[in-house]
Amino acid sequence: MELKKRQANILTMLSRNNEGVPIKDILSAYGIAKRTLYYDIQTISDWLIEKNLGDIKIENQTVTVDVVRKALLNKQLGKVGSYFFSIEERRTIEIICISLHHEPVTIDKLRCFFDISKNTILADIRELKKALEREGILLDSTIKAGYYVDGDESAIRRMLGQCFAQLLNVECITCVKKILYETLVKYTGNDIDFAALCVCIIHQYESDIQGGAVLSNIEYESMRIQMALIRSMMGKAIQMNEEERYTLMDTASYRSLEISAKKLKKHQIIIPTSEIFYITSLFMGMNMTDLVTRDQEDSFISAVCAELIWNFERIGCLYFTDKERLKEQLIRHVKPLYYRMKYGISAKNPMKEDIKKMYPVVFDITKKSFKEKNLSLPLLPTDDEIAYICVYMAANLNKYRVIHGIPTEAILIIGPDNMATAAFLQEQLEHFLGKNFRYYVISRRQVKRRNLNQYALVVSFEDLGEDVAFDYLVVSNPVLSDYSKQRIIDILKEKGVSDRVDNQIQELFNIFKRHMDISSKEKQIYFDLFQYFNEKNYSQNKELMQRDFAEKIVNSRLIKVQEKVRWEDMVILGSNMLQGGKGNLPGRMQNLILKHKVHTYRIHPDVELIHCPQMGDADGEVAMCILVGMESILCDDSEKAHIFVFLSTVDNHSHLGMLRDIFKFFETKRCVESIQKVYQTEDSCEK
Amino acid sequence: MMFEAKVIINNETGLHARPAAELANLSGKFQSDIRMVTDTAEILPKSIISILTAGVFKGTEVKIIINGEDEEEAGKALVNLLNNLPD
Repeated sequence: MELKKRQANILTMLSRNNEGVPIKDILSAYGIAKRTLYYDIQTISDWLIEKNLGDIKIENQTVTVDVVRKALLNKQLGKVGSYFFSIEERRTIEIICISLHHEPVTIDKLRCFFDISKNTILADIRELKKALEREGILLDSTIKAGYYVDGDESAIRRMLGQCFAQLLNVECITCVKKILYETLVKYTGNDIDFAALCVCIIHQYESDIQGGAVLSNIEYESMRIQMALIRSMMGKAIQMNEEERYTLMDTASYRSLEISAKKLKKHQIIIPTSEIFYITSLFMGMNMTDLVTRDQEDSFISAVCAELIWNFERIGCLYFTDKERLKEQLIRHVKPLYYRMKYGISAKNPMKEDIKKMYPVVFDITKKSFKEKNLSLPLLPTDDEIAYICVYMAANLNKYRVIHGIPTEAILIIGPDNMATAAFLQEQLEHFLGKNFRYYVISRRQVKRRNLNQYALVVSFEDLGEDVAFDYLVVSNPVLSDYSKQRIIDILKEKGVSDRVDNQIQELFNIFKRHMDISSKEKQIYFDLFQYFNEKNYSQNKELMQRDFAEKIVNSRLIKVQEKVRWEDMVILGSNMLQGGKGNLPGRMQNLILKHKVHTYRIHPDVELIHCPQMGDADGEVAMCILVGMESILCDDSEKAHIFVFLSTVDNHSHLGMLRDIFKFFETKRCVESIQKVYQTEDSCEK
Repeated sequence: MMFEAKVIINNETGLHARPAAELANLSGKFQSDIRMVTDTAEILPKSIISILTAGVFKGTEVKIIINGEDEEEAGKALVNLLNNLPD
């Protein structure tokens, strides 16, 4: 007779402990049931007697061995060849077998395979069930199918990938390879070396990508490909969402695998498209995610968007009234962004510079929103990516833009499904044509329900076709070209739509015509002046805001708070200072404090910005004051600060210029120090 | 060779619409490349928009730089105009 590896190990353990080993210690060390241990002890006893090496006994729940010839025992134990799996190895192989074997996996089958008792198998199953449950995977059984796993397929594959990674011993790897091979042969009807085939795919991939060894553990990758093929053949194909598929399709990795799959198809080996995507994702590695399931990814993206909106509101000192709508819009864009980050793919945004120029403050706030600590994204997206998000933010602010005066003419923008691009175009039109128009944005599908004749102008991203006849239509790209601008002016002139800028230009034209011949370039000059006057108005506003801020900093007394106060008191004090003790603001801030809804943003480690909303207040105005604490004050974010900047706002945009200047000022080290210096030498004190 | 001269704008309204039109009209008659440089802007005086958007007021020093076949003739004409701008 011969001892199994486990029995040999137990005997070795006992021979080294003259006082014996408690039963519970042996059970715990080998993860076996009592019944299995008693069987092992009986086998060891028979073996010792047969070899005349000694005897084994159980007394007081302790197992002892009385060895007669120790040297001979050691020699005999060295001959024991069959491998004994550790508990972890056994359970890993069990779950791989259950998930991937083509035959029903039953208790009996596992018992025979591992040569252990039914109780040990049942204990393993119990433990595996618990472990898998934590990952959202169900381990269950039926009489017909034996044991099986059920749940989110990406979670199951991730779990199996981890199992493969745990296989360090050659015996275990051989065992798993055998399971994979047998199953693939059974499912495909081809008796070929699938492991070698997968290695070829990997080498081809490495050659296509860089020419070097991209994947560190080829055996492991090969097992993961085989696993993907088997699961797919079991009807458990992984379903990636559209965004992730589009992201992967743009990669050289996908193209390499696609070509390999085509070659294999000629030999009747089919790799389903869904698995090409999946294998691409495996090869490219997942740079950032610990997320297990697709649902987890979706809720992660949703949470990121919610955090992004919250950050933007705090930093921008504003409120989006329809956060859910914005969140839905953001999710649509953040999803592909997330996948691009996940696979380390960089996206170019051809409109980046235009967007930054058009929305400098919104872009800055968006970027700051991404940089906040609470945002779960581990990487800061590039400016190209941020520019896309910026457009969504700006589009949702535009909805509440205050239009001064009574616009009489309307312009219709027919956008693509991505309405943020339409909002971007609207912003350009506003710069170009001034604020004398009402703007409406609709999608292509809504066109038929509209009477286009009520609009002075219609700007569309695509030709509306013959069924929508309208003479005053301009087909434009997302960035308004000079050609489109010219066409817009022509239409507005033709329709007799005139505004203040037009009158100014006509006055200039009268002067020009007296002194020079402009007939040949009248259109061009009109066009240039049109743009010039609108841009001039815009830049004048900017200069005014910058001067206003500089004067505020220079002229305002920094209010020194001498007593040690709580953060809450500081907020009330600041809101009082903003309104000179009048109005509703302090009461509103008190309510916001109670509801933990005060918008704050840490501009600098020692400076906190506090938003004081005055939307709808008759006496509301955009204003700022700075309070400096004598001692550092523990703030709502559990960090301390000395300097508190209070900004009152009346809508979602009129304070943005001042906010930009505040950021610019406090992001300069010298400026913060100058305030601290002023504070230290200030004679007049207020509280 | 290149024509260069400095002129101080002395009329009350600076390079406003009418003087700008006259300057553009005159500059357009010459073949040479003409540039005018102030502390804050570079002007291409053949373009009326370029003149107007530069915001040249009374007291602004303007450097005229002309390069081309008729640079001398153009230089003299432009200096004469800028020194005698109407209000």
